[in-house]
Amino acid sequence: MAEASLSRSTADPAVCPPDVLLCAEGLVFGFERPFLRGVDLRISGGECVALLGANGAGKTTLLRLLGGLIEAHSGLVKVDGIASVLLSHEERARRIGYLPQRIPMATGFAVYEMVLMGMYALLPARGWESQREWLAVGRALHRVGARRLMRRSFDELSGGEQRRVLLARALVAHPRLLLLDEPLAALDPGFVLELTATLSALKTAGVGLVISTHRLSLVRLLADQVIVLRRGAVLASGPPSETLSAALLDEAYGTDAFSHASVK
Amino acid sequence: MSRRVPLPRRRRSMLLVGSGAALAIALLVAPTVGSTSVSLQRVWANPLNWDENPDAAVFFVARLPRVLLACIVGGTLALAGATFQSLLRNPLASPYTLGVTAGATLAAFLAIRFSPGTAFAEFSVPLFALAGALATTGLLLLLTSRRGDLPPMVLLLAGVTLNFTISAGVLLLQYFSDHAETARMIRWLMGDLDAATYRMLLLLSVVSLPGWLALLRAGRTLNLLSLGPDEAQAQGVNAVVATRNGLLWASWVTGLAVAVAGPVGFVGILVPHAVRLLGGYDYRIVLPASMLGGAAFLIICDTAARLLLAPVELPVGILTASLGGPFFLVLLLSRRVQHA
Repeated sequence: MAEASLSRSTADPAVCPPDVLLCAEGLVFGFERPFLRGVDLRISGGECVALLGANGAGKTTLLRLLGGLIEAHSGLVKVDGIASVLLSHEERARRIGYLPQRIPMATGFAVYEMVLMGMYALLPARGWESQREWLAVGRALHRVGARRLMRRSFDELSGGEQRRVLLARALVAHPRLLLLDEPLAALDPGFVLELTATLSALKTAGVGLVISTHRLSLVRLLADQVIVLRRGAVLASGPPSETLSAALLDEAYGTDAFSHASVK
Repeated sequence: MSRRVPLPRRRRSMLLVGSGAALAIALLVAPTVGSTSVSLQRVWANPLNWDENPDAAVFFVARLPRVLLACIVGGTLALAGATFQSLLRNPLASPYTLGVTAGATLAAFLAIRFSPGTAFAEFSVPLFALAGALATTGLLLLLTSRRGDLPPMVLLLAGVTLNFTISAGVLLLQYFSDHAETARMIRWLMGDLDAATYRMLLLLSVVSLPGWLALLRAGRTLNLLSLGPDEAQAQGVNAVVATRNGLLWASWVTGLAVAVAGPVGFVGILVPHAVRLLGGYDYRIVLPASMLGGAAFLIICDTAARLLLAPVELPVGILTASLGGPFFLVLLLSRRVQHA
């Protein structure tokens, strides 16, 4: 094992070829008691990687590292074959759409203003939106079934509606890679089905998806690869058929409920 | 689709045109009213021959510089206030929250207490005040620079603490000053626009200009920063650099305005909020509209300060709070009713 990890040097171009959308190697975050240690990940266009794990296992930290919101203490993230730390924030934002788990206080912004912010990196620094950006906002909101909320104040919306709007913001600039932190939280069952279809369509269109979630049904439907985290370390990594076993899930979530349920 | 587009554009242009018109009217009317009434017609009949045209003399020599100073200071403070409210993610933030003014005040009081030679006296207070404001901002940036990030809450707490610490020095200095000096100090705190000369106006504008431009251009970035550093970073803003730049430029223009006019209160909080209530939260609109509205507001307040108890002129700081407060409350409370 030690030899294998040593041979995978970060300088090796074969590990992160340019056609790989996003690639992470040996990510460690936190010094004395790391929140995350030794995570590897690789995703190409049209692939979906699901992050599973109990609350506090490190899913959000991993997504923040991949999105360049925080810097790893060791290890490497490459976007389109370029080390993420070498990209400017704008260049990175043009490639990656990010859905945060926490809903921000918008302090009065309207829904369309929130979605327009998703195109920050595309517009020239002081630019005003043209008809093109407006149409994109309308389409993105339509895609998440929130078109009618366009003029509402973001802060007045329900939690589920807010998540739809944030999702529209992540989609509006058509990034090639989406990092979604619990996209289904607080959504009604009807929209969960709609969103699953939307994500599936995005995948078919060649968008790479990294999704942290607690919904195993979504994982079974969409994921090509599952990374199961436990206390900041990778417990298992592989296709859903290998990683969604009852025994493994019991270990990941610190319970024996999965085995009991499957026996019945 | 096209039916939905006009709203923000209409709102933006209406607010900008409205605040611009208010400023234009204030600029034209304010210099004509006072202890002697001046007719614009007579002023423009022979504008430069002041010996034969007393109207022009009063207009250009006595009143216009003061009105222009009110315009610059009011616009600057409102612009800086809106910027700080975004950077600190706090609606109660003002240009004075982070101790810029406390630093200016301490230095100005030092100049008053240990006034240097008479030849230098006229410029000593503004120069000291500017140095104090810049030193405070520098200290704040130095203190927070050791962290890799710059969260609004840390910035806010560090700034407020700095503010209190410096204020202790201000009190100490006041305690050891005699009556005449204390009176001058208190007068400085109330803000004064009387010292305006064209040379000072020109200097102030030229030196403030880079700061105004930098802040007016930062609207989209401030929109994102007002949602928090993480939100901004995910959309492509370098949150630490953008926060630091905003802080630096807002403190620079505030320091300049305060050095010349003293810490005129309330403009920096009230005007940006009035603009938001009327025209929404997009900083690309809020920043220029605040600047125009702040300029108009301070001109109106200063004119009222000259007129209300004429021939006694009130310090403008008293008027900004007593005129602005009720106006803002009416706006705030009437809006709430509409929403409910």
